[in-house]
Amino acid sequence: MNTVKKRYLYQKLAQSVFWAALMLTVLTSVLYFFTEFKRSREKTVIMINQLLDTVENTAAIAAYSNNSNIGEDVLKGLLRNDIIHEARLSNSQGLQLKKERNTKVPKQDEIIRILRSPFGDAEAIGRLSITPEAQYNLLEARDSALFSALNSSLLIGLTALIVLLMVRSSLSRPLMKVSDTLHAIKAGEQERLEPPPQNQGDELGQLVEDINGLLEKLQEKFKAEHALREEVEIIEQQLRNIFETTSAGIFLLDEAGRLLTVNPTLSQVIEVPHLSQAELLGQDFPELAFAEPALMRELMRVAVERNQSVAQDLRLINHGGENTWVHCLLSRQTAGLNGLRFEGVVYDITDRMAAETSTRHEADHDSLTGLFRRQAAERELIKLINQRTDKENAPVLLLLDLDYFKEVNDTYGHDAGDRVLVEAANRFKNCIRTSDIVARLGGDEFLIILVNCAPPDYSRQIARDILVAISKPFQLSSTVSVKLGVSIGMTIQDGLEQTLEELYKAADLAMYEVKRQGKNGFAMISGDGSIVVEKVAINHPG
Amino acid sequence: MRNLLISLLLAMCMPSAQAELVVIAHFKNSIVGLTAKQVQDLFLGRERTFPNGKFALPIDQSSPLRAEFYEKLTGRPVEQINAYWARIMFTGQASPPQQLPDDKAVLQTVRENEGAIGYIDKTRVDNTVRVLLLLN
Repeated sequence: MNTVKKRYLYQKLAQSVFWAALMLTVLTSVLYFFTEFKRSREKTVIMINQLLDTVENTAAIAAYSNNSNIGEDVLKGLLRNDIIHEARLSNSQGLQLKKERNTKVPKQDEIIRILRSPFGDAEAIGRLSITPEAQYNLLEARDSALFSALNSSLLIGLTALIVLLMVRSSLSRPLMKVSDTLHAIKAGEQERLEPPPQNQGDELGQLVEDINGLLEKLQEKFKAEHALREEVEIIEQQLRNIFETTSAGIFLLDEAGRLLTVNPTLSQVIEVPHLSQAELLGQDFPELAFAEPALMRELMRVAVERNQSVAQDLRLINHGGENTWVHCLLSRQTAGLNGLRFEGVVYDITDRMAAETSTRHEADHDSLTGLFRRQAAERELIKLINQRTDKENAPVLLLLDLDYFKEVNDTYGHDAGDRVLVEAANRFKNCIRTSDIVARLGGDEFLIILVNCAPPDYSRQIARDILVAISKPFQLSSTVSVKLGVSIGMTIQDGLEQTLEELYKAADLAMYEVKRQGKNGFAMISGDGSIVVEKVAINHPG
Repeated sequence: MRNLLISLLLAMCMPSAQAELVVIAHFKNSIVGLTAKQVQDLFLGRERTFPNGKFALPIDQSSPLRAEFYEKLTGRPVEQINAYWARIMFTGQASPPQQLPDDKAVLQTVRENEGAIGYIDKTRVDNTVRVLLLLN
């Protein structure tokens, strides 16, 4: 603003006024010149007539007396007047006198005065004629026009000057002051314009009041906006903190699953801490993070299909350690305009998975023996039954009941009973393959499922092994040991249609037959419903 | 006969309060009569000759008759005639007619000069001069 020269309004006004005044002056001068020229001509004619009046008598005498001297005198006298260019005197007796000025100007009309005899009957005796001096008229007109031009210039100039001064002092100055003050005020500041004292109530005063009103409103808006912005900044900061410090990884994916935006935690969550935030960008997220990328891609597809948030537990690529599980929440981004986008969150759920696993283990396993409980065993059995497609691989069901366990419990106490149960469970496990299933159904009842054990003889051998193993003494303490037996009822699911209940019932029947025939043996129901109890001869020392 | 006629005219003019004047010339002058204008032109220097071409010598008077003569001849007061002559004289180109003291001197001069022309009271006129104009 300091370098740029200000163009004041009143200067513009001055220019306009100057040109207008100039034009007016020229116009009036030209008009004045022409009117003055005309007037001058008329005046000249009048003056010449007056001159003629003056010299008429003498001229008449000259004409009458034919006296050239008098005539010459008259003409000379006439020529002394600037307004006369040429004067001629003639009479009827042949007198011809002429006097003229030697100026070269267009001839003008002659003014003729008929001379009459000064005596007697006023007979016409000659004539006096005068040609006006055009130069004089021109000069007269020019001088008048010049004077008029000067006069009007002076008047117009003075008026313009006064108007300008007035405008400057009563309009331009206060306006400039207001303008400068306004210029210095920054939006939203407390400052206000000072109303010019002599402009109270007029347009300028109103302008200042209105500007102040606007400034007031502007300041309020600024305050409100400032407050709002601070609020937004706080929220933004909070969100940023959440984004940056949350234990969850937050990401934005493009259509192909490449990372567009990530938060600092993501690399930790997906176990690639060596990659920086920038290095993550552009990487294929499913391939980078997950053990089964296809699952992640499927999740993306489902998110698009359902157009809502979808979630799944996914296992990360194992970088040599324990398996890590993350929960992934994914949704299609709806705000963005540029193509398909996914936003999502992943967080570590390994601990939860572990806890879940442990809970399931507790639910599935007997806390004393570590064997499956009934439900878990039955679930496995149903799974086996459902998986079967042919007559091979038939599972064999063994129901076992420890003989004389109640007596041990009563005699040596529950702790001793528990030790017996644990020991029995271990002996069972040693008799079967790892793929087979052992479960404690409750009390001293157990269930064994032999998987894929088609030849009946093989399962019988296992039953015999169990009988032998259990018949060995159970050491309760360093000095006390007890002997027990076991009754085993067996059944084989040789058809595909047998249900779990039917299998139980059959095994139960077989076991009762063993008990009825003196315990410590095993029996299997054959196809025709007959039950054969087998026993094993056991010879133990002491 | 002419005298009789003049007498008659004079008789008719008698009732006038002022005297009658006659313009006279040498009796040999061939001019029978002049108009008042012709007389005026001669006396005011506009004409120097009679209509017949003969040189004219106007004779003026310094008597009171002079005023009457010019008033009757030009219809202007004699002062205007004096002023007229003063102007002409100033140029040096002409001079007014010679002035004689009375009718008697005029008569004498007219009788002696063939080109002379003058004026006298009508009552003084005689046969030695020719009357050219009667002014009343």
